[in-house]
Amino acid sequence: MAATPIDVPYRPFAIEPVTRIMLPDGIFDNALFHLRIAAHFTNTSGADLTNVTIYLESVGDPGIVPVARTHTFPTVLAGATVMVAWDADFEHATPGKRLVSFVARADGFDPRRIIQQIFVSQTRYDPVADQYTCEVEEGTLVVSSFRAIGPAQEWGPEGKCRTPDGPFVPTGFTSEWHPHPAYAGTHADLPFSDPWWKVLAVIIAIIAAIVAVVAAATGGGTASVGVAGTFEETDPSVTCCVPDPGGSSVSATVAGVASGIATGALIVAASDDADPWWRGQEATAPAPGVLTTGEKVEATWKLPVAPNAGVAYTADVEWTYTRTTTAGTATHSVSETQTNIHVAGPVTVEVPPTLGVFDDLWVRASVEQPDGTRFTGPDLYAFAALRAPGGLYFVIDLTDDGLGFDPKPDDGVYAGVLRLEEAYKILLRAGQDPRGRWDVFFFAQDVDQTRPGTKPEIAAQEIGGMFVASALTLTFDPTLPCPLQAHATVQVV
Amino acid sequence: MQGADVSAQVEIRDGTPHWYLSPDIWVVPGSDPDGPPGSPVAGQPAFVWARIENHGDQDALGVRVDVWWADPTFQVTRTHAHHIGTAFGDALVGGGPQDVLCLVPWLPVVVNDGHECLVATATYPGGSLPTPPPDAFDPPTYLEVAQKNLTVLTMARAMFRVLTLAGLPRTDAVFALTVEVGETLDERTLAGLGLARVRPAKEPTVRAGLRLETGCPAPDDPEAPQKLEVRVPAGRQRAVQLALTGTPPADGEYQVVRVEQRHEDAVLGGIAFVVVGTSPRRTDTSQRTDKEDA
Repeated sequence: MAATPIDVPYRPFAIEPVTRIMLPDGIFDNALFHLRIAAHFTNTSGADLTNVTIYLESVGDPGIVPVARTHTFPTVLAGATVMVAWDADFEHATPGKRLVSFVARADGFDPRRIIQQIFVSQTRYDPVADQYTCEVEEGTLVVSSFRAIGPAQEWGPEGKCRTPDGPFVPTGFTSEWHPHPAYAGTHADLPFSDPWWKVLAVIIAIIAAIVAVVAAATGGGTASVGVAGTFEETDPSVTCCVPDPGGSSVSATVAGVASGIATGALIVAASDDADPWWRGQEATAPAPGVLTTGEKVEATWKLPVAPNAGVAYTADVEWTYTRTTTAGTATHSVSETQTNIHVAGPVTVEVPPTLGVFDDLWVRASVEQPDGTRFTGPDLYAFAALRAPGGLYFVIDLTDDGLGFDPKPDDGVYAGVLRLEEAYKILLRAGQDPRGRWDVFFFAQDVDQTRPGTKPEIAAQEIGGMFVASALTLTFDPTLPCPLQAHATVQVV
Repeated sequence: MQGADVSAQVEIRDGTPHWYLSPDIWVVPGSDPDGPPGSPVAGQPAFVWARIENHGDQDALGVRVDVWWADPTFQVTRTHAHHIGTAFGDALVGGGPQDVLCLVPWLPVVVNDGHECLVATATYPGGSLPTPPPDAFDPPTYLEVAQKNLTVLTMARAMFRVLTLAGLPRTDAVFALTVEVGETLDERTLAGLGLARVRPAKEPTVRAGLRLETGCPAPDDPEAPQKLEVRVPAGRQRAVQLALTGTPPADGEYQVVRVEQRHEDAVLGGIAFVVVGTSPRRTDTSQRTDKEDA
C-alpha cells in the first residue's frame, strides 16, 4: 500500500497552554516548562481520507518529554488541513534545532512518517546583573535594558488594582550578541539558520511579559516557568481593558494576547526585511582574517499610536549597531520609520444568536488580507475566548478544515465549537449560571510558512506568531472606552 | 485500563534461535534518520529503530518505546545500560508491525568502536513488565523487551575484541563461554546491518577463540580455546578477549562469530559479529573502517 498522503507543510510551532498564544515565530523556550507542540497536517491527495490517526512519535532531545496522544479524525477532506497539538515538558530541553516525527495513518494506506524541525531557545533572567539572556546554538543574546510602556491602573481585576500581567509595550532595548564561536566575514550565523536575531529579543520580551500570567494561573512559584523579571517602564501607560463589573478576573488568554500584541512593536521597530544586526553587519564588514567577537544593538523607538493587531502602525526608530572584533570596533547608526507589515482587513465573526443550555456554541470567523482575499487553512493559528455570563472564560481552537461547524476546508472560514453541555458542569462548579449573554472574542496569529531548505536570509524575512486579528485593542488614551470589544454575543436561555 | 477479556500484547521480537539477536532493532547511521540501515560508526550520530507488533485483541495506542545501549556485554542490565531516548507508536490489532523511530541521536562511543549492544523496551497499560522493572532486561521473559548484540566486524587480519562479563549481583559465579563460528543470517537481519548481497563463506577462514590475557593475537598464535570457564566475583566484571585469527572472508562473503554465556545450563546472553573482509557490499552510505588491533 502507498503511504498515507498527509504532510506537515510548515515548521511545528509552540503554543503556551495557559494563555493559548503562539510564541514568537513558533519558537519553543524552556523558560516556559509546559508548552504545546502544534502542527498543521494537510491531506495532499485529491480524495477524502477516512479513519485518520495522527500521533507524535519522537522528539530528538531527551530533555523534551511529550505526552503520548493519538488524534483521530473520522474524515480529513481532500486538500484540507487539520491542526493538532501535543502537551510536552520543555523544562530540561537543550537549545537548538530538534527533529520531531509524526506518524499519520488512514484507511487504505500505510502509515506515513513525517519528520520536521522545531526551534528551542533558553531564556533566563539574572536578577543580580538585571539582564536577560536568550541562548541558542549559534550564540547568546543578552538584553541588559528593556524599556517599555506599562499597563495603566485600570488594567486588572475589578478595574481597581494594578497587576503584573502587563501588557508591556517595548520601546527600546540594549542588547549584545555573543556568537558561538567568534566568526570571520560579514554575517554571523542566524539563530537556527532562520529568524533574525531580533526574534530572540522578542522571545525575551514575551516571556518577561507572560511569566507572571502563567505563574498566576498555575499557582505561582517556579513550577511552570524558569524566569522572572521586569521591564523599565516609561510613560505613557497602556489602557487595555476595564473588565466588566461582573467579571471575576482578567482572562489569562486576554492578558497573553495583550502581551503578544504589545511585544509585536519590537518586531515592527526592528523590521522584517533585515533587522539591525544584519544591516549593521553589512555596514561594518570586517577585514579578512578579523574575527567578530560581539555585536551590540541599542534601539529606541516611539510609537505615535499604540500597536494593534493587523494594523499598519508605525514606529520611529533609532538604533546603533556596534561590532566588536579582534581588530577594534565599528558602529552603524540608523534613524527611520518602520511600519507593521503583518496587516489584515476586516474580521467577520458569526455565532448563533440564541442557544439552549445544552446546545453547541459554535463560532465561525474569517480574516481578510490587505488584498481582499481571506487568510485560509494553515495561514493562521486562530482561537476564540468565550466569556460566560458569570465571567468565566473558555478558549476554543478555530480551524479551516471543513470539519464540524466549518462548512468547507480552505475557504477562509475558521470554525470551532464549545459544547455547552460540558461547559455547564464547569460553570456549576464555579457557581456560575450558563444562562445569559456570552461574549465571543476572536484572535488569530499568522504562521511562519517558510519551507524547509529555504536560504536562511530569505527564511528570516518570514516571521510568524504576529497577531493579525484581535478583540483586544491597546490604546495610550485613557479617555477611550473599554477596548476589549466582543466580536459577537450569544444569548443562552 | 485493560478490560477483563481483552488486552493488548505488544512484542518486539527476540532473535531466533538466539534471543539476543533481535531482528526488530536496527540502526541508521548518519544525520538522516530516514536513511538506509547500517552499522553504527564510533563518534558519528546514528538513529535507533525498533519494530512493535500487537498480537492481542485490543489496540495499544501511545506505546512507549525506550532504547538503550550498553558496552559489549552478554547480559545487559539497566544499571549498566545507557538510555538513548524514547519514542511512541500505535500498535493496532491486525495492523501488522509498526516501525518506531527514536529521534534522539545516538553517538556510539569511540572506545567501543561502534560495537555496542542495543536494547528496546515497549511499555503500555497491561504490559507484562513490572513497575519498577527489574534490573536485568531479560528479553526471554518479557515479550516487549528485545536485545540486539550483533554488529559488523571488518577484518583485515588477526584482531581481537574485548567483551565484558558481568557477575551475578550477590554470589560468585562460574560462567561457561562458548564460541560458535559459521552460522547464517536471514536477508532481513543482514539488511538491517546494511549488508547487501553477501553470502555465507564457502570455506571457513576465520578462527575464533577466547582468552583472558590481554594483548594482540598474532596470526601464528596457538589457537585460543572455543570454550572457557570464567569465575566472576559477585557484583564484579571481567574482561574476556575474543581473538580472531585466520584470514578474512572473501569479497562478498561473511562469517558469523557468536559467543554465548551460560550459567548452570541457562543462557544468560550472547554477542555476535558478522565478520566481513575489507570490501563488503553494503547498502548504507556511511562506510565504517574497523581499526585493526593487530
